[in-house]
Amino acid sequence: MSGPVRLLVLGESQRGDDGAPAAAVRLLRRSALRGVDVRRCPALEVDALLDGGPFVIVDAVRGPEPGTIVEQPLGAVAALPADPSGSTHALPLPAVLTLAAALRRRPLEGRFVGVAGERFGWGQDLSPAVRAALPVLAASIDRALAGEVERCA
Amino acid sequence: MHGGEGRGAAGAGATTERRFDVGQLTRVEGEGSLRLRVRGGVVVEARLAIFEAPRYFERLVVGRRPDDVLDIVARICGICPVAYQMSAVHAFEALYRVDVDPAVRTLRRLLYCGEWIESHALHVYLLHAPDFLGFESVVALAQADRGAVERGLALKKTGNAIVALLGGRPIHPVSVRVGGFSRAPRPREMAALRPALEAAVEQALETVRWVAGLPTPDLRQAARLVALRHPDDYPMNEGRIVSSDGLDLPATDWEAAFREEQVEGTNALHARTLDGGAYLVGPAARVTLAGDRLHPLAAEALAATGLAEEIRVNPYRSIVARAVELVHAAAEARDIVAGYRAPETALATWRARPGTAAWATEAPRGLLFHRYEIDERGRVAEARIVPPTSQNQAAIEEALVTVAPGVLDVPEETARTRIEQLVRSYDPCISCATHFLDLTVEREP
Repeated sequence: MSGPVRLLVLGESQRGDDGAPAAAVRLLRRSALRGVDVRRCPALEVDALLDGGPFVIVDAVRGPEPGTIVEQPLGAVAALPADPSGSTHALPLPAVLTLAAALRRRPLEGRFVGVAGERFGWGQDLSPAVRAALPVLAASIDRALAGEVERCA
Repeated sequence: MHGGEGRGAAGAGATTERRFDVGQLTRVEGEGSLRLRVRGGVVVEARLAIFEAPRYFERLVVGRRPDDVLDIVARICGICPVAYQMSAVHAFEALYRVDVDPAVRTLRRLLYCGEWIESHALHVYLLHAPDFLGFESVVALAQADRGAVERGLALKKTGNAIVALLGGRPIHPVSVRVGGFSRAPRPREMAALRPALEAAVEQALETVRWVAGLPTPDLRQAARLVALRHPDDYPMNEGRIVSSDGLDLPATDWEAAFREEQVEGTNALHARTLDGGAYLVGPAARVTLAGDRLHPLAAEALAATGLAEEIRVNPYRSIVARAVELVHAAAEARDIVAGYRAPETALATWRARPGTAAWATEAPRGLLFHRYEIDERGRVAEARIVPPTSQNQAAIEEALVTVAPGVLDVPEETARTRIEQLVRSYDPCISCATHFLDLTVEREP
């Protein structure tokens, strides 16, 4: 059953570019978040996906050129192979999405919006490329939210 | 080589070498690999290698005050931060002779119950149970048995809720202080936990029944067992260090019977007895050495399985011990919450003094020993932290040697699964275990 759109803002603001999602959400107009269930999650736990939705999940990613915006339907992210070098203290994002879909017995609806980071070390500073990409990231989140809200209507 | 050079393993030809390499262990905490090499029927290498980078926490706390240390050591592990805080805070309070409110002692047990619940539920359901049922991961288990995974997640959520209430947040809690807590929960906040805890007791009992019926490989590996033992309580924060072969020491004196050594090819120190023997800490050791202190519901659940002896000798049965401890932690937490009265003094006063602060508590994975040398300014001059995985590493390698004969003649995939399953039986937390005895930099001219 569809509820209000849930915006899951992942990342740890004390770890460099991992703080980009939260920084971008702060740039959103208040009207963009009206009726949206906004949750901050340093790491994505499956509990956040077991009810409600559709979802817009925002996170920093590794791989592409720093500052690149990545957008995917959640189903496509769930199908990605898990990164074996990721932290083993938490399930990787594709595994969390797949587990949630298995427990809900239906695919998750929604979109993933990411920004490619450069530095994930200690500190709150964003890299120049990621800082420059924040307005574009915010616009992408805005568009994803609007799309999901419209789909729910 | 590690793990018992030259011990026989039947089933391979005189010149045949079989080698099992798992480059990156999955469904364990942290980054490690394992290698089992058998030549001519003889195990020539059995190694659990820990290549996750060391993090130097023992150096990071030097120069810090005790309350800073509590926040720093919590960062060693996202799964068992409470354990690190408990060993440290009890060490400091023992040195400073702090008289904490009895209700604070009870709240600390409740905090530990929360951590045991979330850690054991995570391991039983998400990391270990898929092995027994032939599933590659918890995702496949969820597709086949949604109810089981939901039960595990519900238990984990309840554990997290306890830690969040007492510690301020579910991971890396911040409220533990020398002398007590920075804030004690209000009775109505505690009362809000009751429905989830009532359900958790039932979920934990169902967990015991479920894991007791899982198909389990046969293995006999009668390791020397080490755990705390307390005259009244199931061991968590207090008790004496005892072993299955008669050791009996104060919780401050771990170094009187054990030592750590650097081993080539791993970033974790290995702990052994002073005579060089391997030993095992953790749920199986606790259930065996302190089973008579289990909550009556947990004792009853254990008895109903008829597996107490199996838990002692078969590492694969540790999942049953972990489930029994889930019952214990859920039932004790429920009882504490039901009888809760806020402490009169949540935070006792204390005065720092120089000396040695040492203590051991029972982390979900086993005995966790801390020692700090405190200087005249009340700051840490030296620290030693001995996590359970460091202590179990030698026993894991010995078990790999024992299991080798049984996997030589089975298909590669089956053998690999069986070996990984064995390592996961110990619930190793590799991230916790990474530390060096010393760091030497050799510079050539």
